[in-house]
Amino acid sequence: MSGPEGQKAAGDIRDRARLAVANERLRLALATATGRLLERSARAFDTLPDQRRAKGQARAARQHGLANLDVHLERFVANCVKNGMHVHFAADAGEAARIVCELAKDQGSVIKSKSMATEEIHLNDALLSRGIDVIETDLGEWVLQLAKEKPAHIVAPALHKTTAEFAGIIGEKIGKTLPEDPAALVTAARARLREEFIRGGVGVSGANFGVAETGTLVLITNEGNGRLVTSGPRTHIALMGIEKVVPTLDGVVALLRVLARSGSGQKLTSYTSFISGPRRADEPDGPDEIHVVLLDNGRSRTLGTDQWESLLCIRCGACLNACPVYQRIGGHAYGSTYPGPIGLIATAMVRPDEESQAVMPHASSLCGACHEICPVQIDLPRMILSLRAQSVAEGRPPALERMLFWMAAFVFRRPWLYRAALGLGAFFARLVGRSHLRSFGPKAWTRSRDLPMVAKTPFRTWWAERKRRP
Amino acid sequence: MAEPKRLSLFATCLVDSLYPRVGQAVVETLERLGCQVGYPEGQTCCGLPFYNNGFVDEARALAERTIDAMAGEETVVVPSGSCAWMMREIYPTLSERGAKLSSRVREYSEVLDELPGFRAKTGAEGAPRKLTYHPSCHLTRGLGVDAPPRRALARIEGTTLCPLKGETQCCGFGGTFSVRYPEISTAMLEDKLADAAKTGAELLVVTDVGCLMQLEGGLKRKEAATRVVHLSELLAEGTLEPEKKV
Repeated sequence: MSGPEGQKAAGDIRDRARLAVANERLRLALATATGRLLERSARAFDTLPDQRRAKGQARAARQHGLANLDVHLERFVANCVKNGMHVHFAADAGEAARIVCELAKDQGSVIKSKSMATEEIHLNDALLSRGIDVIETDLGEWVLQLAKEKPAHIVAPALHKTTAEFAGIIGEKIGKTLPEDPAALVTAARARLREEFIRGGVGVSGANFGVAETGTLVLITNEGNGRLVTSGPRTHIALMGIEKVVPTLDGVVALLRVLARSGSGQKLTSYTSFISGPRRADEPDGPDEIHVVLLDNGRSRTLGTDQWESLLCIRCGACLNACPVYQRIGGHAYGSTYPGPIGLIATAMVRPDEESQAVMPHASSLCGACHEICPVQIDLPRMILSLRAQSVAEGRPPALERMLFWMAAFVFRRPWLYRAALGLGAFFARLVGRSHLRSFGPKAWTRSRDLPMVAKTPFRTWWAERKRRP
Repeated sequence: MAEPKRLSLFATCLVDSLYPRVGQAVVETLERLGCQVGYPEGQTCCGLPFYNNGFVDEARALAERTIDAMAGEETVVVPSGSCAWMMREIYPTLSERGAKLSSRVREYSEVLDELPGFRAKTGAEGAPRKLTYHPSCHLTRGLGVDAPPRRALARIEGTTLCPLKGETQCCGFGGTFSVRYPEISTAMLEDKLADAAKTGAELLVVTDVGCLMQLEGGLKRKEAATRVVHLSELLAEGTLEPEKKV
């Protein structure tokens, strides 16, 4: 991972989290940004007459698609082809990157609108390694590309960066000293990016949804860059997860109603594009070719597991904003394309390794704030629990941990043994003569908190004595 | 005089071993309100720590043993939101007999709420009067129980309930999360304690023994003047009686 918070030297999420928590500047930036997003989102939802119903309808639209994904996918593909688009299937990240690179070669530079799916397949690295230049055109993504960083949030990729940092990075690129004024920075970035839009030979985007009944790609942005990317260059390539298929346009309406509200606190984003094919003979603008690359990368496998519900996700980022863990460590500490609560599930899906399956699922206090805020009501704590169960079923936890839990269960299953252990603890507590431990005991707890000792008189002892009294 | 309400206490292993004062307060307050409280001695742990760490087989075994230990028809009162969540929400998924016990389980404040009503007053002179309340994640979001503890607190005469900023933010305990990710857990705790301190309250009231352990651990380490208590302890400290029938 390349990040500013010194993650390079760090081992896994635990080490990166430790560094991130200690970074006061980062914590302040995160608290401010997530707080503002949550507040704006709450206000936007207040404009709906019935939020619960809106969320229910959005979930139903997603569930409708997932319930018979094969059927809806086939229909989506057939209609895309009928509309004159080309459709490709990619089983994994590597294949998807190869397909895009093959389509993009020999056409000049690639201009990109913001897309998590392209991050997931590490498309920029793949393009650059084949000598194809690539430019991000979402302001936040562009600044991160210049700073050689990865996005730290699903919808607000540079939320960990201050205006001053933006000014420094953009100023260096265009060779000017820029004021710490957002409007001036946007103007400077706009002028510079305009040149890239004109130069770009291939436009690469993601897709928020794919409509099966019409063969339409739905793309939402706020900066208008999505529209330029998908209409300027001769070739447009859209990378879309297979789970993003929505059967009907009505379903998309239900989803748009909650997506911008959840993601950026808007009723609608500034631009909502419905792309149903390349430029027609009588049209002056638009690409000559549109390629839709459908990405599996673990999705069809997940559909058959206890974590299937996570595929309902519409990538709004609300669960990141609401998560007390994300609020304190930010996105880079997760070391994955997808951070936050949904990131715990999505990372295990797209990158099933030891860290994502055995370590990351524990980076949650299971407080449920993510479930509460999710616009499609994904029960994220249950998904996280199911990952933990899977990790145990596959024998992943360290031997010591497994032994401790096995021993604890052995004791708790035998009340006589439990009573004996409790008696021993109480005896020891009386011997020590203190109610709390400060320096002994597990350091992970006692470094910041006093640890209560077993009570000198456990509850059951009190109860038994009380019963004996007349 | 109506038949006294018969209750069966599931004390939880944390109360039994670390916080017997909470169990005692639960028994004493419910008895003062006319309930008959029993304590089946075969009980140990509900299995939540095992379930939360993915040890589902062990959790199931403990669920089965708890179902056996808590046999009967009485309402089962649990003085901790997270254990009540385990028994109510998870037991039915672990055991065929789980649903029956699950339907009998009530968290302490829910039991109070189902009683005909009570009058409460803070203890003698000098007793704390300014309170603040931390709603636990498992009780509010997990079980959807939000109003009952607040209604109970509102009944205590002579106290002021100070609103806690960001009250629904997790205290950072999360079971083994607190030791697997101690720095994040501590950062969450620090923020919670800072918010609590800002209210100027003398007492921080909780309804979950996990939160109690976390918050108490942090307060003691800081040697702070604020005290954290379980709702039952607060009620037990003062006078408490059933509401007189008019």
